[in-house]
Amino acid sequence: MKQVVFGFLLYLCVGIPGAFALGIPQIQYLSKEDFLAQAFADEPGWKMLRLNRDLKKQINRILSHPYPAGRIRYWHQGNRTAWIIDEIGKDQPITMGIVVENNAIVDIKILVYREERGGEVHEESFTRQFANVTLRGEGLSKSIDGITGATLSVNAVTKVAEMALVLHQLVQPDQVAQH
Amino acid sequence: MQALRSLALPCLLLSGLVMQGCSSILPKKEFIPADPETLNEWSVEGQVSIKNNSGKQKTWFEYRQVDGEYQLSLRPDSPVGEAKAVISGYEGEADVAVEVKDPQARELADAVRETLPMDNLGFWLRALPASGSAEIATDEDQVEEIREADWDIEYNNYMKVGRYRLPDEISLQKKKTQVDMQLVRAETGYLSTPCPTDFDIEAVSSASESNGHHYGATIDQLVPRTGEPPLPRWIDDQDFCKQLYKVHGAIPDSRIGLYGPDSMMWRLTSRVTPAAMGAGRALLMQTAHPWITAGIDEHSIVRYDPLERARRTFIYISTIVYGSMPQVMDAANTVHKIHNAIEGQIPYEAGAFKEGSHYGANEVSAMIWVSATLWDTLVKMYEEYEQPLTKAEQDKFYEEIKLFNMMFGIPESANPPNWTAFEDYVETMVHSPQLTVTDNAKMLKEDLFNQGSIILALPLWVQEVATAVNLPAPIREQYDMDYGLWYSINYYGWIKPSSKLYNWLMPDSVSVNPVYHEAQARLRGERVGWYQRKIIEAAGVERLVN
Repeated sequence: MKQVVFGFLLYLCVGIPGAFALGIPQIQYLSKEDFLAQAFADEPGWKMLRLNRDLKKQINRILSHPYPAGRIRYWHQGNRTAWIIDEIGKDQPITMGIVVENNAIVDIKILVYREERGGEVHEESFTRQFANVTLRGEGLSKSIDGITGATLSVNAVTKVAEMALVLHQLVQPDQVAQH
Repeated sequence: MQALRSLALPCLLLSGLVMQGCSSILPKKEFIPADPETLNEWSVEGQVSIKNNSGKQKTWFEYRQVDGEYQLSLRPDSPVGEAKAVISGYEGEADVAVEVKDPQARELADAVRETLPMDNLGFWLRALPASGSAEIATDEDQVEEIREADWDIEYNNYMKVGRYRLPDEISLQKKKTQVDMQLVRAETGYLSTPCPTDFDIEAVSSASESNGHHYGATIDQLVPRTGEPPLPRWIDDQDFCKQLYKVHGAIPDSRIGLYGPDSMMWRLTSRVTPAAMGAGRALLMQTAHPWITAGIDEHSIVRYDPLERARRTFIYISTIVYGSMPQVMDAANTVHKIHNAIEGQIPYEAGAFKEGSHYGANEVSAMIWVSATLWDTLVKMYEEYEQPLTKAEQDKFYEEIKLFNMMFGIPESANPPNWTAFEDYVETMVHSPQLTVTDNAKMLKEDLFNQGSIILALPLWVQEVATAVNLPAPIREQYDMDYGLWYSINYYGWIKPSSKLYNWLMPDSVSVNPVYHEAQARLRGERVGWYQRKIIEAAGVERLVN
């Protein structure tokens, strides 16, 4: 009898946890490799940009919070650069890829979205607003239309777009020496 | 008959494993890690062996980095405890300082310092290149090999820690030097402060906090005698962080976390049965509060995915109870951020709350009630299924509850002062118009116990019976729950005895909460055992508090 009871309980222990197996909500729209393949005709080179004190201050102002890393890796070919940056939307990081050329945004892609709500920012109807956007003063040259229910995600994408434009300027050959 | 009996166990085990396998076809989402470059405060620990012309050295170590500054602590004799030597410096810089605390560790410290490229190690431990001259081989966004500064670094396996994926088996080679690292665990934030690094504690430390409420005043504040709702006391980011700072500075060993193995909290939550049998009671007591139901209706996934909500609640509460201090702070900050977004207006008149009145999750009285439902239920079920608590144990546990509440920004003075007052508070709440079961709450109960799943039908019916029996009568009646002879016969006739039998029959490795085992393994500097790992993975994470 004890064997049967033990077996039944073991069944509950092994079976029920299995039925509870559910994952954390996150959607990968594009892998890093695919994003880079779309951004550049040939395989790009890559470099590290160290964030000195002034640059960190500038980035912190854009993001409205301290940027955690001390450097950023970027990919380049000719005048074109690509940046893959994580920024928190509500409480999870959104991984974004931004392609910049001649100080204007060529494309923005949401690579990974990890929040429950606000994932509409990955749609082209939203991201195409950023095409040809440049820096103007302390902000973007164009105001970006929001999405109802996705305010925090929209803000995160807009801030990262501005950050990528600032970083792109800095890595242009005529700016590298000064930086 | 004997032959049949001997087959029963393997058959049941097999069907259980089949179900486990079937779970893999549920919509399991892929883990997509965040960029480890954005780790500003992190640590890893494990074992390293160095083999070169001078011989072989082996030691446990912890590599900890905060804002670029690193410390490599060496523990040759034990994975935890005091470091015998510490090598420190700044990431990317060649200068290092060596502090030898035990002269016997001198040779080891020198060997580590001379062999490992300390300026690059912080990057390599995260599978990142240290410079632009590195060659990187990846497979599906995962680094497999880095060749840099004459070193060949191979990444053989990875561990998922929070939202990051970090290497846990690294092999480094340079000419005749071979270095192997086996990593056991990692922390990915909140090492130096309990709040985001831009939070200025100095700026708010001078702000006064109301203190010294006597017993009656606290209960009156939480449950006004007039029948009106309590005056809202909102917890903003500053109030929240102030409480976290108080705790953060007061815990001597961050590895142990808020409570530790000697605490009542670990004792009461370690057995699976009391918490499992009380889950429905706690949830229905929560949703009897119209703010909670309104929050669920407008902001939560409970209604269409109660298991996912239960899973996340399990993860956050387990982390706060069993996690190391950085893990506790991470969970507390995440919950606070989620709560920040939960606010709105009550859409209908509900007991003490008027239609259109404002509600929010980060409010003292509402959070005290949610917390009270958990701990009042746990004590009731623990006393029913394990053993009664003494007065001293109740008081000790209550002090630990206050600590738990501080993780949500609730100041100690806002709580009922002791266990007796706490019991009075729960009793007063149960009879107050603050708890009014709305139609939406009743629907929620129906959805909860009728999932339409054959697999879950029996466990949910058992849960419904246990909930009906143990809910306070005024709340049970508001939910229109059956509680007659049939439920009594079932609960007292077989549900309760078989649950007690389960506790008696099962070895601790099964009947004790797997997160408790994981926390114990962390204290020993080890990885938790296979069975507990599988159970924790079933909750959707690779590790919770390891």
